[in-house]
Amino acid sequence: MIQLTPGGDPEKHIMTSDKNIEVANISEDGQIIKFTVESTAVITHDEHDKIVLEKGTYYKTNQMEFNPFTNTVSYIFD
Amino acid sequence: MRQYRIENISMSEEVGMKVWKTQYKEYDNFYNDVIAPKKPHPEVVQFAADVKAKWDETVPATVNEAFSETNLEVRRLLFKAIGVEELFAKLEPELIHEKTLVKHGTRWDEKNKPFKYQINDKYMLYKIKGDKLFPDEPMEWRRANADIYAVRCWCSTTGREYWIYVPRNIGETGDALAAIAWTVQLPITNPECIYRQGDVIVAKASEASRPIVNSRRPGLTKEEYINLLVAAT
Repeated sequence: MIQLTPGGDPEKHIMTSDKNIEVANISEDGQIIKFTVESTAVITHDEHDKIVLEKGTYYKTNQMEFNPFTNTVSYIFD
Repeated sequence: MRQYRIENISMSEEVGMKVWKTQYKEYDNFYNDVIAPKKPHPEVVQFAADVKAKWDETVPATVNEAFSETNLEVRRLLFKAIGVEELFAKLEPELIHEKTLVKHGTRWDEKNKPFKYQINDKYMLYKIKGDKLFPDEPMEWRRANADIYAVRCWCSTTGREYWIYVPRNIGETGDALAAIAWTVQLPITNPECIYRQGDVIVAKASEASRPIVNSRRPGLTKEEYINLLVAAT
């Protein structure tokens, strides 16, 4: 089981698979990861419908937003 | 009188408390974001106790209060603390563009079998002119630079409404789909497709994909967003 949003609620964006999923951190904050699905992986969330991923290599990130008062860009977390 | 500094701007304790109360609403949120990351030196512990003691009696700032703040930097902080939803709800922003993305997408049944469904996501691009936010800013070019844009959208599962600020150059495209596409900034080139579950984006790599090592990743173009999105839940 992998929590795709580190530090987030334990019922949100949870990925499970019947085979091991190889995960590598791409960003220091852990919000961008690379993972390889060998068979099928399912991402569940208590409020959103699930997503099912087939075999392949994937990258997870979060949507971004601009802050016009600081001219910075940051992740969105729901 | 005690002074607080927020984002390198010095202000009275009363104004500082108002900024924090507006931004964090609950003391626990303030504590987790401001206090918890610091080392628990006695000064930090005392500061946290002082803020907590005044938390309940502090009233969050309204949009009108932010406008009446004469210090432009403090006003900017108050606008930031108030947040995009309230700001755009109160300021009668100008609707620039509205577009509903309609395309075939995929969802999955209880046995994880895919089935086709129709993505039907509406996006609305709004603008608030800098003149409205900073009417007493004497420099015209600075007022123009203060125009802010946000894209309004709804979660396709929960129906919940979201407002997301986008940069001015994206807002100036005048295209709501270009605005939502910018919010998707992938760490790879040439993705095969993308999936979105709320705020989480998952991109499937293709054989042509390469990592984007630069920390400034470009947002998707409107065409990329339309073509790559296979599921939005």
